[in-house]
Amino acid sequence: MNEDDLILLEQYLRGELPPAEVQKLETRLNKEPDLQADLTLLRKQNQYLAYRAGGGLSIEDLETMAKDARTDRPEEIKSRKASSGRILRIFIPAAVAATFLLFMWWQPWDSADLTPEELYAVHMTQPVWDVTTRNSDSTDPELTNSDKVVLSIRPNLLQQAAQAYETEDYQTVASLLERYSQTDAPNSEVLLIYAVSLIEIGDFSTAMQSLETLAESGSLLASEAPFYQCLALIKQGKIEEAKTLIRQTPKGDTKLERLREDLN
Amino acid sequence: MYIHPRVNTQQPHPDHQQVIELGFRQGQSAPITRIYREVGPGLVKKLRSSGATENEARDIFQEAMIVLMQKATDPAFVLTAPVGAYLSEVCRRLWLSALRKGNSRKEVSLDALDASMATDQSIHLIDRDLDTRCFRLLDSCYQQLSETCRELLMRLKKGGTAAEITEQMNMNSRHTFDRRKHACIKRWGVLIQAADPTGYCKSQLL
Repeated sequence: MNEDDLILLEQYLRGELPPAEVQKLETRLNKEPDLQADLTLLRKQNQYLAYRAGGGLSIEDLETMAKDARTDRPEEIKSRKASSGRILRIFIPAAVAATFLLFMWWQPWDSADLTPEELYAVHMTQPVWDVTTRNSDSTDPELTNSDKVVLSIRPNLLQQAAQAYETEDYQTVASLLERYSQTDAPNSEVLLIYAVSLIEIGDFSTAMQSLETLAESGSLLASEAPFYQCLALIKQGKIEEAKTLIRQTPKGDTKLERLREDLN
Repeated sequence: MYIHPRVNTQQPHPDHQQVIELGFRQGQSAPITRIYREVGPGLVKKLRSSGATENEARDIFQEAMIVLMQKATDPAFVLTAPVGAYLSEVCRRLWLSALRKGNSRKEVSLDALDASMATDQSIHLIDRDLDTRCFRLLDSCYQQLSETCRELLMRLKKGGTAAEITEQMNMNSRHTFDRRKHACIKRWGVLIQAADPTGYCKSQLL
């Protein structure tokens, strides 16, 4: 489609063409199936843009929400992961039975008996991290060469960090994400994973800074920040500070409420 | 030739405001998350009792959510039934379609499917409503546009004038703005065409 036709079709869709022009264009549309197809697509693009401009969700947003909703059910994630391996399917019932026996012997519902380390171990849930690499748009004429270099580094670093996260190599995750944030502002998911990794390796002050940034980000994951801030305090043995923080935190998801119960 | 927007005269269900307006159209996460937590597990269970595996059931439910999102992009769409009933009907139709296409080797009678997933006759769906291929293409190719392109198109759609956007985005002139705008729309079209060589998306009406 040439630029003149694009302008013409846009004016037509906006109802800005004079009647004589409309008639001429409609005659062309009847004769030129390609032009008709371009009009169909342009109409769809306009509808999509109007929806997004109003603040409408994208499919990516929806996937994130689905993932978030699943993250609140760690037992379901565990069972799904278990289905991938036959050995794990046998191992899980045995582990559940053993955990139950241990649970009865240990009586963890009496939170006064839990040490900070135990409280941390019981409640720490590493968020699921799924790195989806976007097309780097390398043919986009608007990108400068330096943009292209940055875009090619970013997915690489994230993929390496995600692999390290999968193997619970939090030291590597933290250093890769630190490098990543030097080239670009990290999104809320990266901030959360970075903070969790820092908590795991004991760099609490940087973890708390990262979680504060996340809490102020206004993103969907912002509500996760207080939970991990509490866990960071618990891991440092600062139980009273954790209690104060959780008292100031509004009611949240299941894992936060379980932590609140145990702390109180 | 111009197709006028469809007018829906049916009364909206109270879920319309929460889910369609606030959730999908205005991007508030709470109503959507509530669907995932309160409606999703029940429908996944029903699909499983209709012969779907856990993963198939989850995929079908997610696809039903995308169907609903696609409907929400149409300003004329009004949700006239409870969202749970609507999604249940979409899931039932999607699972039925998957069974017919032979994507699943499950031997499930349609009676069993109807028994486990009650139909709601008031929800009118046609096959095109369930086809999200084109919407997925628009969405994924839009995400592949450069940030500048997305910003420009959004500002324009939000009602920014050419002069305002030229200034806000530090462009040299109105001419640069026009050139960029058309380049962005064309680039989006080219990305769609590359991902959709059969031109399916161009041949389907909204």
